[in-house]
Amino acid sequence: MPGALAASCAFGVAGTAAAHALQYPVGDLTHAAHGDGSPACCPM
Amino acid sequence: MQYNRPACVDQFAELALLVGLGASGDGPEALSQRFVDGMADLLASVNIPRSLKEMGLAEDKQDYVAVTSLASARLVKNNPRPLDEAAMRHLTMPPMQATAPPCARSAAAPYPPQ
Repeated sequence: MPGALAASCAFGVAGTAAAHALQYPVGDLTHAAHGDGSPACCPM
Repeated sequence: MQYNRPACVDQFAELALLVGLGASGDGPEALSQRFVDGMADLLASVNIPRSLKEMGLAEDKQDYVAVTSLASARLVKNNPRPLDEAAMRHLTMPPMQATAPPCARSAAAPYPPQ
């Protein structure tokens, strides 16, 4: 949980980018959770 | 991350050192790639899907995803490396979306295409 909080504080400042942008239409079509889809797009 | 790596070499290299993926003498290029690979391995180890297909995306929807993702203007603008429609198509379509592990297919499919 502290790790999740630290990560959230980090992207609360930095914002998110390509992986999250990709996940929105993918989640719309597949009904995958944002928490599954965004990290799936991360390494790309 | 693989797409962004050329724009984030120093940051990814620093992160690689922080998470114990190398030593400072390894050089920033190698360290940054090791960080991308390490993150892909970490995510795979907790069963995060490794491709859009594994998430259940049909192949005929890859183009729709590429174009629609650009609508998240704030996120696209925040990306360390410029993203346009061609770049998004590169990310959503084969060979980037083949069945190989993320690192292997990313190395085989650099952007811009060569």
